[in-house]
Amino acid sequence: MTFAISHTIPGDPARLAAGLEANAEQVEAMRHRLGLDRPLPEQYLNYITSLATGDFGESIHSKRPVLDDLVSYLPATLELTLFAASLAALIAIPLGILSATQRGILDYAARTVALVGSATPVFWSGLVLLLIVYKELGWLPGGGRFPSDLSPPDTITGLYVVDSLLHLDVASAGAAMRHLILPGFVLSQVMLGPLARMTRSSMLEVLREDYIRTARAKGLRSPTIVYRHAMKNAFIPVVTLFGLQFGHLLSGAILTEAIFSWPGVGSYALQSVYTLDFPAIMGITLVVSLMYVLINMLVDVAYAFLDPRIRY
Amino acid sequence: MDRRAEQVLGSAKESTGARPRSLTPVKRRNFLIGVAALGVGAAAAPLLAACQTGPATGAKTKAPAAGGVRALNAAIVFEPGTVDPATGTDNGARCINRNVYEPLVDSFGADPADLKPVLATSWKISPDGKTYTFSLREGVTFHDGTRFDADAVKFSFDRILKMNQGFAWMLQPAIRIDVVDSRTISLVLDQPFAPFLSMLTFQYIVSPTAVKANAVGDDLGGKWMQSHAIGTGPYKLESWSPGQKLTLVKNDGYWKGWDGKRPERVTALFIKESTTARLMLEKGELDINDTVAVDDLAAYDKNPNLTVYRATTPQINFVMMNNLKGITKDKRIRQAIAYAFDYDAYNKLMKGEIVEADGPFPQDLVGGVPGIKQYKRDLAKAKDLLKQAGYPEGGFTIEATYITGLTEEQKLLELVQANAAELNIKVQVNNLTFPLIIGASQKLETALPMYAWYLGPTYPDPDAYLYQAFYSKSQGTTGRNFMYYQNPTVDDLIVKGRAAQTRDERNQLYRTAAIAIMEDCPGIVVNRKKYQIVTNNRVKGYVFHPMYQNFVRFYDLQVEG
Repeated sequence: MTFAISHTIPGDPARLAAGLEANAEQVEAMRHRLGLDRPLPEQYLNYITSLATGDFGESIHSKRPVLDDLVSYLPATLELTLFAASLAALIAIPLGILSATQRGILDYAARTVALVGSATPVFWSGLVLLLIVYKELGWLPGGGRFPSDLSPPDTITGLYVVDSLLHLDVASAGAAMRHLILPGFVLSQVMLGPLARMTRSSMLEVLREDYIRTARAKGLRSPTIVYRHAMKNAFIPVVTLFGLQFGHLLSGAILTEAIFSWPGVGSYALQSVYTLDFPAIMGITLVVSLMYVLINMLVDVAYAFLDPRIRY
Repeated sequence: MDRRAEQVLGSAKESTGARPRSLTPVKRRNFLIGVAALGVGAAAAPLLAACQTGPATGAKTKAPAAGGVRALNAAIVFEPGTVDPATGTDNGARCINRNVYEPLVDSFGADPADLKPVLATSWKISPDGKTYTFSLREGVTFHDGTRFDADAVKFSFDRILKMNQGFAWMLQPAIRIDVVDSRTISLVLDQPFAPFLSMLTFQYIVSPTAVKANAVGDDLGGKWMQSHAIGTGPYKLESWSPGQKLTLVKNDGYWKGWDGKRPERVTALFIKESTTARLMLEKGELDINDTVAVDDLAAYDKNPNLTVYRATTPQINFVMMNNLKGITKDKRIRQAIAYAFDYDAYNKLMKGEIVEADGPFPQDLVGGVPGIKQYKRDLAKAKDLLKQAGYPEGGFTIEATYITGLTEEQKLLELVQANAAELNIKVQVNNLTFPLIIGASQKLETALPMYAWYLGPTYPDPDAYLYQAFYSKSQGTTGRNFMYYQNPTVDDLIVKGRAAQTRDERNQLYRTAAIAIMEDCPGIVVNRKKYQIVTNNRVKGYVFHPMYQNFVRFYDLQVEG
């Protein structure tokens, strides 16, 4: 479907690739070079055949293999998403539990924090944080993945923090982490609100169950009831939501990447759309889809650990 | 625990399911505890490391050379797709290639038609205008030590023509490239073509040794040259992290030498967001920023640590209208809309950072165009023209399009909308991405009725405007005549201008063409774009090159500290 849509929307990638001033002969030569003069079913068949051998085609814009481009951009997005998602979970889940188990001002405060986080536009919070934390206070760096005057660690996973640690270079890991904090925090706000609210509502539902009443009647302490008996049962919908949000973030956070000059899949995808770079568009779609499938599989596995009734 | 409690707990456990059987030897609770511990540990280690405030200096990272390296950090908005000069035409490629490669001749200074020798020291054009003979500079070597000579020029030009991409069309008038001797080369054209010398400013010379050593099959080194650059320019391409930055380092053997305090190491950071670039510049992490938003200029001007350079570019902003179909096919309708346009209001919107355009190309290129028609706002004239066209009360609708994301163009069309409303003409403003606009403009049937567009010369010659945007054969699938303008008189003048041998003769032909075009009013000629670049006070010596705004020549700069 993606192949059909991207090849039938109005636009001429051969013309764009050849340049606006290119003559007709050059444009046709480019069209032939890109295989765009073949019938659409033949183009699709050629693409699928190449895909089977691991060839994602060549980017029209960068003229590099699309796979090479994805290997450059995907780890940056993965690193940012992992950090943002972890941060969101670390904040949202305790916030949701607090909100569910406490009454009064603590509940309102927790819900307000979650709501403000979700409602604040990413471009606004990103720029405000840059202004305050980076420019005025100088606590954290402003943009990019790594200090511009240094070389990043040799690639193992492509995640700078992980690669630095694997090379036992704690200083580099720290430098990479410092660059990760601001964009990661901004991106975590996207997940924070929904995750906190889901945790809260799920906990409230579980805390109303008969066995919880029994546990209270037995005289068990609240922390024991909440963390030992209620939490695991409440986590099923939370894990589902977490998985969906994680997958969504993996497709690229364009605004966050633009503000923090983060070289991720979002910027690459935007550029590909702007230049009608079909092979890149297909490559991104394929990889993101695969990652969605993988994440859903992991979520399914997590269900089995959370709920012993679930068996595969 | 008493039996009753056990029974209660037992029933509670039943309500949640039987006591879990282990899926593997790892029990569920232990697994969860282990995952949580791993997550916390994985987060804690780098977070603790992040508390270090110093720069990373571990064994795996490479610090810049100690002491004495004059480094410069520049923010550029365009990242190259490829740095192969034979195929890269995007702005990012041109920005980098301008610092790494050199052409035979180049355009410097305020007059774009004033070409200067670079790798050629002099040239002669035969009386019939068909043969260009260049004397080549001595003592020049490529970054890999290969000697620069006529064979290298022929190799580079042949490569461009064989690959037939990028700016190859500029070299195609040459039907033969002859090596006369090691220091002399001649290019023979099939017919006189006056803009040819200007077009050579984009034909960069590459090292034949490097290309041949890295060619795969018959790719002419294309795959390798995508991310490698071996030229004669003042800088070498040291590294390129896609999406992040690109580093240039000094070419010690550069033929012009290294006097003064020129930057020896340049890190070009790809920063798309102008506010981010501004904050980094004000913080001191950037030395140059060419991602300047008009709204930030007041703040830049007030900052004593920064210098704003402004220059008027040769780019002209148009509101183009379709000349062959729809309501705007009628010249009187186009003229009416042009007379209704309020330039002063647009100048206010742009905070005075534009210069009013006075023709389809900057008049100073041809020494002025006396008597050329101008469309100063005059609602009475506009209404009269509408009446002559059969629309005394207006009453029709035109769709106007700007490129998605370009706010200046959006403001321009919204102003046109407001001005047209005074004539009871409804202008619907929308936006399309650049590829969709190009796609729509390929054929007359789908071409847009009205759109905002900047026309900039690809080479330093009035022909670059006229041929690309006003020549009838540049309509549709080739060129940039998206408004489908056609005038046989103008066509004839353009063709004659290409063949004319003297500048005076060409200037006169182009003056006549400019007058005819403005009379036809293919669109509203709005303004010349002003270019702004901001540097901190470490950086001196920035010179604006009209053909190369956004393509800073780092070698020209002086860097303190």
